[in-house]
Amino acid sequence: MAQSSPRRASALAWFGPVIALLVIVMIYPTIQLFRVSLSQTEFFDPVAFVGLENFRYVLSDPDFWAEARITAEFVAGSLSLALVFGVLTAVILQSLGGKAAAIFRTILLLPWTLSMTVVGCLWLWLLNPSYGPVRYLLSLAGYDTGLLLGDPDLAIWLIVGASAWWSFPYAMVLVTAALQSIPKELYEAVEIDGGSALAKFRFVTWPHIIPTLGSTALVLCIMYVTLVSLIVVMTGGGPLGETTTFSLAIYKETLNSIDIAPAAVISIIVLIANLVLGIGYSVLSARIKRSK
Amino acid sequence: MLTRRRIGASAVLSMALLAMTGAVQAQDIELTYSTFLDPANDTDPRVAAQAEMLAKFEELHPGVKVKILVDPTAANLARGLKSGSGEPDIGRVTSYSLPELVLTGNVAELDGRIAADGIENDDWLLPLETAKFNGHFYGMPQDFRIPLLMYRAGLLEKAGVAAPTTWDEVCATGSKLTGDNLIGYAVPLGNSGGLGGAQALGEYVLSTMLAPDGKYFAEDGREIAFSRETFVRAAQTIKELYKTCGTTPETSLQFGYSEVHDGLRAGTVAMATFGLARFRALVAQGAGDDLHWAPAPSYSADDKQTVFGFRVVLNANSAHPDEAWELIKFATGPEGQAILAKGGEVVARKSAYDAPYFKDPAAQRQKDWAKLVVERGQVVSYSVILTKFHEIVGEALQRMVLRDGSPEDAYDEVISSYERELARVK
Repeated sequence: MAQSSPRRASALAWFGPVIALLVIVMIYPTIQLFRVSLSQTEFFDPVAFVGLENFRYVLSDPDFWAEARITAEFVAGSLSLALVFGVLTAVILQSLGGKAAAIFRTILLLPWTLSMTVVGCLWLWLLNPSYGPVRYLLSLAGYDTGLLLGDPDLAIWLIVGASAWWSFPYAMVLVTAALQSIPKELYEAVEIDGGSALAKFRFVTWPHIIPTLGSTALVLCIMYVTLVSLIVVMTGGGPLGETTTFSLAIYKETLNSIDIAPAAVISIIVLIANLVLGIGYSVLSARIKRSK
Repeated sequence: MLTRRRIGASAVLSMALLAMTGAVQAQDIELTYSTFLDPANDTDPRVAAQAEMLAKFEELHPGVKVKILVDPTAANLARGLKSGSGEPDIGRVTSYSLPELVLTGNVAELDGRIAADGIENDDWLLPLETAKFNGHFYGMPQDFRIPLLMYRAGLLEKAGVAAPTTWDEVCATGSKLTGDNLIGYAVPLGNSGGLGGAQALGEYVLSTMLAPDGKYFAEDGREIAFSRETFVRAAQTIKELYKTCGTTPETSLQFGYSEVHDGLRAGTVAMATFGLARFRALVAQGAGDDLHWAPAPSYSADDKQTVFGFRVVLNANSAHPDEAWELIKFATGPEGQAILAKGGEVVARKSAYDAPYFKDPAAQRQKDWAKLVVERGQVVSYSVILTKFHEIVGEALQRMVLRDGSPEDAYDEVISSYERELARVK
């Protein structure tokens, strides 16, 4: 049945500001982004329509594919470490229980509370190849650390370590919440059946935390894909461009280039990747809700 | 009832109100000045000098107030110009980043104003003509900066060596200094701690190495003007410092401004070619009297050195261009420059050096640097995509060192990448 006019007006009055806000901060910039990607620009101003030329330029640029590889390495590496450490610490602290677990949990949460710039500066100092503690400690063990962040083959993995260190507490907190919602009776049932600790994890813990892990992974993925400041501080994208992810490339291109259209093209690719991840997150969240 | 006294009082009140309105209207003119000097920083003498200069300007121009926009990397100024905004009205930018900003079309050309005000060409450490870009003035020189060799005298004394004057001497001297946790001579090829790789190298070393004849980029800031031979020689020198001299360990590959600064301060870098503006800070932050300076090394002991400096630019979209120009004229004029000199800058105006401040022995260092600018300074043209150029050349040189590439390959990489980037500039 059609809504009456007063109801329609009331709905418009309630939703109007939100819709206007969405148009201003999301729809318009997105349209502008597509417009820029199809143009040649002088700084922020599109000066000529060039069709799909910018897409051809970007996709034929070897740097783009190198950035794609580095982004994949960075996201996959950070995600794997953050999830593994998040689950491990959550399970260990859960089994520890009591005040000690609460204290450790609070301490372990600290990295997550730090700004990315602070995290970057901290790791830059730790990994300094001249006077950094990492180099010093490893040299005591007779190991030559080499250039660390200056090594093109190693730099991205060191950044992966730093980003995982920063983000694993997020996974730990969410997994802890999932663990606390598991009924104790299930563990008792496994015990009665003579199941080991591994069996408890395999048949009780894991099925209960997997949906949470999925949604955590998606959120972290989106964060890693868009992360810039940590890399800017630690390497600036070097050495030899081996730590330049998509987001860093967009940031640098927008700041340093006169024609920012290629950066707009990469932004669209990142946007699509994030959209896919966002849809995945929504679907997964809905599934978790239904299962509860 | 209207009495004579009431009429008189009303007239006086009206005149007072009118005068107040007038004053308010006059004070309505507010200029925004983009500068990296933060008024909240009370430890930097340049801040105090800047405040004194601006106060004097406001005293001379009662209707104008200056609002400072703290802009450490001039990013706000760049954004304002790129987007065609009228703010900030004026700003300080380095001479090497000026061409990139001129390309926005929003930096005002000053030729007419300079001619109309009869500003002399010769009352500057280097002639005013050298401040032109592509045949026009887009900014007035505020100071000059010449690269210096900064070194920890104690470390050189301990090694029994003197400060080098040529690259051959750097090679020989640095190898005697380099050891565990000590870099003999730092060559900053990295881009850590910021964007636009190898910016420190470009600013202090390459702009001189690649332009012994003053030819760095074409006058319009597009085509590369240095020769293949010059580049290959420079790249070869850098490679030797890293690979065969034993002067520069590979840890220096990721160095930028901050790392060189920290190294000189802490004494983990014995020598580096660095900007004179950092000397005072390094001394204050721990290097103390052990930090000495000498003219920067070059291929011959008396080669020209590429000088850069800050230019004060006028936003073409400023709502108050005449008042903004008055401020620029004052800040770069003899009186304003004499005040700014108290902050320790090597001010650009020659006649400012006649000010009483320069009779003080504390100003001797500034006078020595000013003399160095006059005697060995040269001005070059910079690229309109200089940030990109630095990124390209930094990566090519890093590759040469890390992958043992040849200087010739580094040159080919620089040329092809630069041309590709330049093609994107309309």
